[in-house]
Amino acid sequence: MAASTQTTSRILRVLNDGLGANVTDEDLRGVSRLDDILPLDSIAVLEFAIALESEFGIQFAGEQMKREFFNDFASLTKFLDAPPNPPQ
Amino acid sequence: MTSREISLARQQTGEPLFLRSPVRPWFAVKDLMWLAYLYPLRWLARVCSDRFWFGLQRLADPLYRWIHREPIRAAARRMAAGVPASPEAAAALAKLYIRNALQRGFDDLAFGCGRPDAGSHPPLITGLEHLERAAQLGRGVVTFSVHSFATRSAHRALRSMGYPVVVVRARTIPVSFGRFGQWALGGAYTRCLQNLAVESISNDDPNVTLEIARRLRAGWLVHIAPDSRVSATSHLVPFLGTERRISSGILDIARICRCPLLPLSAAYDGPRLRIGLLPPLELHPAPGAEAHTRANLPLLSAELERQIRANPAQWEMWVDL
Amino acid sequence: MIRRLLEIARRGPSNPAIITGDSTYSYPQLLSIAGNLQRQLRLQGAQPGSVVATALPIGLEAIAAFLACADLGAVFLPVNPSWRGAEIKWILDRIQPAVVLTSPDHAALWTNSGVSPDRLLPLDLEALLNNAPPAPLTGHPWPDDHPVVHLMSSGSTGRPKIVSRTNGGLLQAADAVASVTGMVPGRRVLASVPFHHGHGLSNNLVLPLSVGATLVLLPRFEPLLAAKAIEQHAVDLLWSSPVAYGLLADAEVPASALASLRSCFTGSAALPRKLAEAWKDRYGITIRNIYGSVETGIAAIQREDSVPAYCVGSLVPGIEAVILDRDAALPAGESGEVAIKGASVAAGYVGESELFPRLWNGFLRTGDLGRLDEQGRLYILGRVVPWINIGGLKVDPAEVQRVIASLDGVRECSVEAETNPRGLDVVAATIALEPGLTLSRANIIGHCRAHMAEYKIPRVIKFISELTTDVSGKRPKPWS
Repeated sequence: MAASTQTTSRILRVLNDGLGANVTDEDLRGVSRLDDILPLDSIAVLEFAIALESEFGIQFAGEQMKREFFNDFASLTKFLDAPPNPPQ
Repeated sequence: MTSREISLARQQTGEPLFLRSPVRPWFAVKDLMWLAYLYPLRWLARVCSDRFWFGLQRLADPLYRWIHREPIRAAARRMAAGVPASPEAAAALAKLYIRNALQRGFDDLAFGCGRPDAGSHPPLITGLEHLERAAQLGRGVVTFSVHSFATRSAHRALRSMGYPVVVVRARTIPVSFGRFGQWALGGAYTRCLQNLAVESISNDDPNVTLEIARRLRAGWLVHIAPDSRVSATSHLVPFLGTERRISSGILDIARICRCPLLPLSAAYDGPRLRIGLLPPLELHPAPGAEAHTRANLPLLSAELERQIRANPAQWEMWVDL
Repeated sequence: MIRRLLEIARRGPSNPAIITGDSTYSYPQLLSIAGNLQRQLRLQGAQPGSVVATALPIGLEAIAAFLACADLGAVFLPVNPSWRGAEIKWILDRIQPAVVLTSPDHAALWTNSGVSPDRLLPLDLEALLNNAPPAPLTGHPWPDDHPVVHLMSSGSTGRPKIVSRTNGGLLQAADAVASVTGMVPGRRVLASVPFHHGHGLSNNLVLPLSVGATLVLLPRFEPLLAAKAIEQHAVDLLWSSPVAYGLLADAEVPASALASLRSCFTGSAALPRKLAEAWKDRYGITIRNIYGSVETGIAAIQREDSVPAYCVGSLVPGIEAVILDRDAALPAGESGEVAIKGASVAAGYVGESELFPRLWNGFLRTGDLGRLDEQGRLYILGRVVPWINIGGLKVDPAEVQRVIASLDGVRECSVEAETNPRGLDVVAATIALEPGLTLSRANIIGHCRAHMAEYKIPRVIKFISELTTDVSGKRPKPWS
């Protein structure tokens, strides 16, 4: 659970620093889908994906390069908690 | 926001999709033309001799020009101001412009019916070394051009040479279709274009940019035409002596995916197809996305203008300027 | 500009130029301070053509800085002194000033934004007053097209822009306005609109000084302080905004305190009719409209006591106006987009293109909806293009505002275009909630999604305690 909180903070940092989103922990409370609090255009989703890769030292697989994967906040956090290819 | 969202939103709000009325007529000239194109002409293309085929093309030319006399006049006016050109030169260019549209139609028809030899002559390609060098970087290549009549043939030519080409394009039915065309021909039209183009990613797809990134990572050549007016990333820029919205999305993709942006131009030169590839745009490094767009959008729009002015009669969108 | 001021100083060496607090400075004294400051600017590296940013409130220092730059041939760039990191960065992304003049306590904001400390010149008024030996201004005759000031437009058409004004344009505009407003030597003007606003710089600084009038400085607009300054220094001319006139009326300033006022002008925003009537009733003064923008300078001024609704007066000498349909001029009486031509119209936007992109036969399209009557009077009816452009689609901010305001718990809402980190316009909502109520971003977005198309949903949402309007009549732009 602690790891999840830390992961959430790192995702928030990516959203805020990388995308200038201005989202807080408070905004995320009780929200399962990212587009409920932050409607992103398609370039922003790509930017978000690449920034997450850089932040977590991973590369998303082809089947993960879908908008829905990044919109589902709960499963994204869960995936990033234990990515299959952790940083070298 | 995807183009599909834009289209839906426009329909919801009653905003015109392009410049025309959102209310489609029951039957439009375009319906008749596509009805002929999709059925009897395709059937004819399969069975007739090459001689008959070229004869048909010549016969179709005056009819096609007569049907498009108003677009020819509109294109000539805009060419005169945008190229710029004298009224006489612009009128000649506008006629050539409509002829190129027809040639594209016959090229596509020939290709779609499995007789590519009846279409354009083998292409003349210059600058392949730039594409090779860009591909060797291993980050995929984004090629870009204006919407030119000959681009589709150019993609097919590159694919036949072994390049994995994917095109980003709209899959909407043109507003110039009437309600009959939309209902009766829409499906066949979409399937027909799908078969004519190389593999494509729809810009209606919510995953469009993620899919582009995925293809680039796999070493594909992704082609984008950024001169479409409706785009979630469009900026108003000075263009051809007026203003036009140009999409900066490919600059974002190049920045995020760190891939080269290669200008590609394609033109019909009589029956010959000419394809030109230039060295990648030398994008200015800039801190931050906005500064990157600001620094590089003029490069992009200048290249698009250059392509149009080099071959004014090849640009599809004069009537939409 | 400076040659004229040197002449004014020569003819009336004891005429007061500036009154600030209890101190009065004559024209020779003001020019001497400006000369001393110019010497410091030169030492700091400023030269003809370089940009000098000043982040200073209304005061002697800011005026001296403007004059020092004008004489040196440098470009004066007044910056709102309340701006912080993101705003300063916005400027620095577009312009790299050779020198930044600011108060010592603001210097860190600029260095933190990447300005090298050796380009900062923290101002010390005492040192300027006592600088020896004196360094007189030269009065160099800069050509008319020499840029003299860069001003930030308010961004009412979207994001703010930086507008370049020239030596000749600024001075010719001042002369034209002076000729129809009775601005003559000896008049006393309350300077209360900050100089980083076009209205403040043109009418509270350049115009009065260019004729030899006296400026009474009010660093911050407080209605009672303003009334006291007007009464104490017998101010007879006020150029301000509807907000300031409203504050004076609301503070129930007695008529006796404003007895010296003979002329009042208002710009930046439409003057509510009720406010104009309240002033007329209470103080016996007609507040006259002016119309213009940072890009056009003052284009029209109300000269009569009473004008029909929406009328902002007649064109200033040297200004031409046409009302445009899409690309044709309309006859008198018909409504269309107001387009302006004249010496006071700026040369273009800095860092964008040399010329304004919205020119029609040399006339600048203002984006304002208006008409001209048979007598040549201009009427402003609203904005032609109030939309926010999202990827080629137009969003009416009023519609988004209405939808958000219909949500229970929202007290006030303002919707504007904001530039996202990729340089694209997005819909941005600034929301004030009812006291004691809490709403989340998800509530706002969910409500918008239920009532509007996806592309209209605000991408930027800010909750604030209340929406404010500054003294210039502008709502401060949200920055991210």
